[in-house]
Amino acid sequence: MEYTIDWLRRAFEEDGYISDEDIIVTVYLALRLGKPLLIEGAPGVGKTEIAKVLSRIFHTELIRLQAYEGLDENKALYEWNYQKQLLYIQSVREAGQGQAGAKAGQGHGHGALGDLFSEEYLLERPLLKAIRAETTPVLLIDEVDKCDEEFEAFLFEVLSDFTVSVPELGTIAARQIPMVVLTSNSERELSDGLKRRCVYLHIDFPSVEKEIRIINAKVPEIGPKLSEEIARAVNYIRFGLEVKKRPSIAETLDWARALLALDADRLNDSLIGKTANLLLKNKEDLDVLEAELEDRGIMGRVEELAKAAGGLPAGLKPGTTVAGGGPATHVTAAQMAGPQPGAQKPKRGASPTVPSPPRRGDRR
Amino acid sequence: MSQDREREGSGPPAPRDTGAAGDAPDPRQRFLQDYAEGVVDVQERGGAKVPDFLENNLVKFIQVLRHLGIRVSSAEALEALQAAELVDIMNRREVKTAMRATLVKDLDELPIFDRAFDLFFVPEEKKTERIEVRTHKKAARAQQLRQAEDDLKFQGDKLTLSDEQKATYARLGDGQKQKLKDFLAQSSGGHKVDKSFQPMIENIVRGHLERWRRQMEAEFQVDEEDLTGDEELDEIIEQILAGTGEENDPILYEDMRNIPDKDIPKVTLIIKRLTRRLATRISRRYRMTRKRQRVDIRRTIRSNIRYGGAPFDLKYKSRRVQKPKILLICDVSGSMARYASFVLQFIYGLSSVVRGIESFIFSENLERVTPYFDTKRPFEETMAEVINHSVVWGKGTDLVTSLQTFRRHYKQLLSSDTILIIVSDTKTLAANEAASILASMRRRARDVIWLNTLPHNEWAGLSSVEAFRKNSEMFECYTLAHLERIMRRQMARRAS
Ligand SMILES: Nc1ncnc2c1ncn2[C@@H]1O[C@H](COP(=O)(O)OP(=O)(O)OP(=O)(O)O)[C@@H](O)[C@H]1O
Ligand SMILES: [Mg+2]
Repeated sequence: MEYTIDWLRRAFEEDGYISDEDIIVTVYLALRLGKPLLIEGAPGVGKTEIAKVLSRIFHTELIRLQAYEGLDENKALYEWNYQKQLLYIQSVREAGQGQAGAKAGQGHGHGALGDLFSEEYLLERPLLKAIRAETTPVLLIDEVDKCDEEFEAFLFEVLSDFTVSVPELGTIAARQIPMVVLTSNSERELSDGLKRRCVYLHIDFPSVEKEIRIINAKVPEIGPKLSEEIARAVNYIRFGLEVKKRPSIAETLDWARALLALDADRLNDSLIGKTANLLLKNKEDLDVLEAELEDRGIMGRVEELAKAAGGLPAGLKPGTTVAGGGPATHVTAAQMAGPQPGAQKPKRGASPTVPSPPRRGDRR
Repeated sequence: MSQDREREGSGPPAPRDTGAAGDAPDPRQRFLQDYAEGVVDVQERGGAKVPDFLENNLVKFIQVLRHLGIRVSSAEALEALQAAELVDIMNRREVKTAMRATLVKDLDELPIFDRAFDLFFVPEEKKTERIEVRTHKKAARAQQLRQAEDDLKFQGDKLTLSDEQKATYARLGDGQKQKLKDFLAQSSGGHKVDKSFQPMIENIVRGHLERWRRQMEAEFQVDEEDLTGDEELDEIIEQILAGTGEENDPILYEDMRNIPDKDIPKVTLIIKRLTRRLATRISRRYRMTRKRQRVDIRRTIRSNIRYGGAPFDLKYKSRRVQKPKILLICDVSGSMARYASFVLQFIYGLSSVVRGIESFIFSENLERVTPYFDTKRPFEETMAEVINHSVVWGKGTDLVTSLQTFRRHYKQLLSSDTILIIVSDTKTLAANEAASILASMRRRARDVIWLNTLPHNEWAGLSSVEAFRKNSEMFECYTLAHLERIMRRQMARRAS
């Protein structure tokens, strides 16, 4: 089956995933090159979702390995089902006692123990499952930056040749290379080796234009006017205010649904104030928002910005890596002559977003 | 269960084309060869015209990336080629995405990649134009050096000056130039002044130029060794290195002590980028050393048997270069504290190319702080903890007691591959005594580098500076630009 970039673009769109050229082309290449796709980006920009979309559009199984500190081979690859083995040993022993002495020490007992390490007692964990799958699955290794370095090294081996060895069973090679998606919030730098194996995609916070499309796709009842206001307001809160944790797309969508439930048809400052806790989750950030609402107001600013952009769906430019600031510590600024935690002002300035490029004609 | 690997899957994603392993020359294989040899070609042929194939362009482009500090493995190079073949080659955006996805795996490197791509993949006219501009620049540079030689004469003879010194002269303002010329004219014509005075006069002129050079050199300059020798590529590399944003940030030239608290997050970010780029640069040198590497055919074949013999993973013959160890001793007495925290951050930023960093802080006495830096926590938090736990932070300076503590408890940390870096303004009690302890430490270390936060022009006449200078290589270091430059030069020197 031949599939093209256009086909993939359409499939993503039909599945309700709004993407830009970079995402589509990169995903396409990872699939065609048979390489793992490593996706980095802030929380909630739609990294995990890409794996889910892939499993849906290819009608294939999604096998998920959630990484965390302390994840090890046993939990990722396979384990022996001790309980079942134990039961079996017991049953063999009882049976043996039943026919006491008859064939003691002979083949049966020996053979039975050998069988204890057969597939019957093997508990497949995600990696083995993906390797043994009948049809190409999607293997999602989620938040790979959370696992330990040793596990990362192990993962690297598995992803290099898709072969694992189970001492009792021998070497098991993949029937086909799974479509592998790794996601990371860049909490820890991944090893060069692992990165080299992968095709790399970085997803930024969406532009206003993209977020409008996402809202319309996921909450279609909302109508074009409100979705635009929501997208603009979220963009302003993300990049115009000094919040520690910027709202994610998931939070935008929750907010949109809530506003819909409240029967809102336009957004205003008092509505924002009432529903802000859906968008910002920690107290400090909510305080920042509240202060801004009292001080300058938000929708007024948002509209000004929109006008300044000449009606184009524009927003504050997502500053690429402006640090959000670490957790507060108990050292005073004066005492601390070293680098200090604290949010940094993101770059301000409106820039019109490029409308999405026209579709290209089909290609072989 | 099936034991054999069946790569031709039945699922939708077309599995990777394994390449024609037949007798017909496989274009990929040829590419790999070119890729391995291309580096030689481009360097040795000095930009001789080579046909404009995708392969060829890619080889060159990757070379540009490497010289900008982006590491690209040969497997990745091959993937980039495969990727480029999978997209619409006439669609620039798709080609760019394809290369980016396969060649760059780091957020910080994306902007550099984007600029390099935009500058490199341009129409033929643009390229020609670029070469012309460069030739022109070179000629202008040569002309400037000649002018400097003409201007700087003693009794009609050229002075012996390095090209660097001549270039410094060329960059001086007219007034400064005139002063030098006047000085030479006067001394040439002086009463009873003969040829034997030339060395002395030269010394004065050199000293003068060196002072200027140091001042101007806080500006980031492109190192010769960052260049490839291919005019076209070098023009791109220079343009990017000269304009990567941060380098022009005035904060780099600010005395670290005066950087206000509000700018600290920004500085943290800048240090992170600087060190990361420096680390890739340095490690490139550690891996490649000065000589170009040769592909180790035997190792390549051995390691590629599993790919069915096609050389996927080229192995290089490497001259083993031992990475250095760094032992850092930072003065954290009152006025020094801020310098220390920046330097610490900088050094730890290099930890990917430096083995086992050991760090100490001192004022009245010395404390080992290495363990704080072992975790993966953000630097801000780590520093806060160091400060909270330290009993010496911000106290008076007693280097003698501090170094004695070092000798008593930590002497074994020094070895012949250790670079000992001391950060201090040298203002301590009993400098001479401290200097003699330092002398004994120097014998056990590979090098002692002293980062002096006092401006160079305040060194003269300070006996403490004199004392420590005898037992270390001392550098003026009060801005981030100084720090970056010193580390770059010193580490590069040790890598070659
Ligand atoms: N481009 C998009 N189009 C449609 N929906 C999107 C898009 N991006 C994100 N979403 C929605 O946002 C939500 C969050 O996405 P997802 O869980 O993939 O984020 P993530 O990047 O994996 O976040 P985290 O780092 O927190 O795991 C999902 O419910 C998804 O439906
Ligand atoms: Mg996720």
